[in-house]
Amino acid sequence: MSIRLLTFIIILGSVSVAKAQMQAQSSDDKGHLSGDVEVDATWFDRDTLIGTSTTQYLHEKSSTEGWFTLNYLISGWSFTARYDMYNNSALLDPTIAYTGQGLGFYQIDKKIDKWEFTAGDFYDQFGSGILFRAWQNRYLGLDYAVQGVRVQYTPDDSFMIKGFAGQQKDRFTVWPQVMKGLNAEKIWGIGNVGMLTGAGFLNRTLDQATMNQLANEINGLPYSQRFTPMYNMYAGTLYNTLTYKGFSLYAEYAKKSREAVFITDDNNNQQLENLPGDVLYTGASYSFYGFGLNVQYKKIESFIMKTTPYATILDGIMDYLPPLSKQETTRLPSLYSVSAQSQGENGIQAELTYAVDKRNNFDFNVSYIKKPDNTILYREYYAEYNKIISKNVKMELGVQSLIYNYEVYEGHPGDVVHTITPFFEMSIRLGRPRKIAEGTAENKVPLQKSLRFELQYLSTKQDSGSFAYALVEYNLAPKWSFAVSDMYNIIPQHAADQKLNYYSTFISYTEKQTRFTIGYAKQVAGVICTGGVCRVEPAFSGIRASIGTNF
Amino acid sequence: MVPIFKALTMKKIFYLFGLLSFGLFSCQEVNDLVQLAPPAGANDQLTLDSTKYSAVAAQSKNVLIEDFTGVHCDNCPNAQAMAISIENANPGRVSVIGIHCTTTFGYPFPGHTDYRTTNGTNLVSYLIGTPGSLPTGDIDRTIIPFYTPAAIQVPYVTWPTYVDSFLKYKTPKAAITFNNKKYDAGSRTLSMDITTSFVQASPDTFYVSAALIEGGFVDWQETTSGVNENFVFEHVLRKLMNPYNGLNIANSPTAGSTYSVKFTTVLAPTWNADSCKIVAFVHHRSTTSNAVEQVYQSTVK
Repeated sequence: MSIRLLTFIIILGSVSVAKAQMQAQSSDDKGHLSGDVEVDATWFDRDTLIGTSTTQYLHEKSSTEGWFTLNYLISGWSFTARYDMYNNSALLDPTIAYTGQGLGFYQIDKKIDKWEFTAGDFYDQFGSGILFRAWQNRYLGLDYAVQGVRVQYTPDDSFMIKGFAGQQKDRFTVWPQVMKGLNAEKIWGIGNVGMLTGAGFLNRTLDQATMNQLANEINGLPYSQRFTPMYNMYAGTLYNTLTYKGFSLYAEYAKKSREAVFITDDNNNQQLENLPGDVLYTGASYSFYGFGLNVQYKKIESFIMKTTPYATILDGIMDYLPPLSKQETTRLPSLYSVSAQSQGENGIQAELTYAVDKRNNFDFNVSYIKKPDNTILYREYYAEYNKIISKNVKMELGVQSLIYNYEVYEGHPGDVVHTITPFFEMSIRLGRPRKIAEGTAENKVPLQKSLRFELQYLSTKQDSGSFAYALVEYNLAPKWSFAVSDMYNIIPQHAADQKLNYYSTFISYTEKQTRFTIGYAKQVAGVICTGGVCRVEPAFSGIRASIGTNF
Repeated sequence: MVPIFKALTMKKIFYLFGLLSFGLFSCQEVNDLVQLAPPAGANDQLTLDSTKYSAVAAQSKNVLIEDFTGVHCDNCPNAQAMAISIENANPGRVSVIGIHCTTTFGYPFPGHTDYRTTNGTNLVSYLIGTPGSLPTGDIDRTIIPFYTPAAIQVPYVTWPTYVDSFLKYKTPKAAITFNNKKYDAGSRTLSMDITTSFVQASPDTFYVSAALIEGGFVDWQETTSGVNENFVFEHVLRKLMNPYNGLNIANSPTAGSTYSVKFTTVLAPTWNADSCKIVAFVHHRSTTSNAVEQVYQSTVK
């Protein structure tokens, strides 16, 4: 019997015991059971023209991922368990077919007065997450849950202190390194000035096998480059949010002790070095009379927070470094997205929004990020105009100009990419707004028809060249949605290259809280980002289907 | 408990964080795993190499014999003869390293060379402690239930049986080759990359060791009929590269993964480069097993 199955049985047993105790206290409290289910399936259709050559195209031909979460709440107790399944999955690492299933998450949590105790897996963060963040994004295959114990004490609404000890999850096991942390926050103020002040501390200890491996590797370096690696990494952060009327100022400084980290040099070689690290992050926002201004500055110096230096790419990350770029959602403006470079970067972002009136507003964004040696990493100029033409028609018009360091962000040689991307979007509601009168069954009300168009053009002489993109979406809200789109390599970088089409079709059907989607898509190789976390993915060609619900 | 927290004012709590976060940065740890400066006379170091080579094709099992020997051990020539006959019966598939050891059997004849090496002595101590008698040896450092308790060392008369069995029935998880082998006769410097590929995935941790051996030279050797002043030595360990018990190359390697180890050493002026060989092997290194997965050898020139 696996340890995780045994754990699940213990959780079930605990639920029964807790329930029996609660029933003894109050026969009315039956608790609350909730959960969600999602199953994603992919069929891989090899297309040698766009370069689909990972193992799923050659061998497995399909993959499935599934998650089933149950959460039971009763009298201050919370029991959570999640079953995860990956069959030939490319989700965690696009270059392999990963298969595994079992208990992906389990947690017992109990609130007693001002105390909260958690055992098992948990997600959490200190402040903005720069020092420590345990989180997940199943669509990138990331799960940084910590398995251990956590205690939180909240004596009143203005003060909180919490601490934890555990190990980071690694799929269905844990990384052998251990970590512990402490975080406190206090809300206070002087007159109209409000403050939230916090501090955090994190310690990570390497296991002996990792230390042996490190020592072996360091013993392989020239004597002039050798150093004594540390088992323990200590890190601390201080942060403060100041608010005054429409003004808000956030400032955080985090520092970590010296430890062995892999640094990638300009030739993409990895070099083991013994470095400390720090981050300075500030953000100010101000809004008045339709204007909104948000300015952020960040300076990172080798703030590589990994559970082990041998964790590759997105594995084993213990923190979250917010990116200084606008989070794009549309196809071509998001083609060259970036994540923060923990090895070092220095950047600023400023965003100005201006609402002329209820129908017209503007959004301007400037981002500029460079490496510590002043090499440019990313620069964005962005302007967007939104107009509500009528009750039924909205449009968006804008342009984005980028400089993108292809070599740093995508890890292989290439010129710095310069792009100019104008974009246009229009939404048209067909018919009157759908209103459900009191006492009327929802299915008796006609579906709300709407159309949405997107047109984008990305002009560049680098990477794969220029693309045009068009999308048409027809919605029958709240049940149906249909979309077709094409991303066309209209001017390839090399004249001899084929002008490829990356077309997609998509259908979704929603019945109450259950949603089913299916679509055929061709996707260009590149970087995929969610919430500022990015990874390079190979091209995709095939069918994706998904069903999800919650209860 | 609550009054304790009431007593902890914000100021004190942040002082605590300050102490934790920054005071601990200077915590001292004991870690002597890294060699920060070269030890006297021991600068022959295997190092991981970032050069990427093509995967090495799967190989048949080769076998390593470690012959623990000494110039004052009168039966040791018989063990050497046995090792030679095994080599001749299995050309290219058996490597032998003759490790001269112990203060009882390995000390030199007056005015003659001491064939013991620091790393050889360290290795024997690591593998089997201090041997009470010689000759003895191991086959692929595999634990064999010949003695009670089972151990890696077995009498030389049993070597052919185990070697035949290992050659016939074992399939190595790793394959080895040497890339970029260069010998500069002027500086007597030998360099190469020892490239290892794993032909199947394994959850184990693997190490690479390498030794320089020499044969075909004459010196004094105790025999059952007295001192043979014209004994022809074979397989004599000249250098066992650092780390003497192996350089860690892979943890849980995947099928097809390839690792390279840089090997550079200088041959002493008295050694005949034409009679020297390099023996490299991939092995385990733990309290339960030091077994050799695969061995590969080549001449220096």
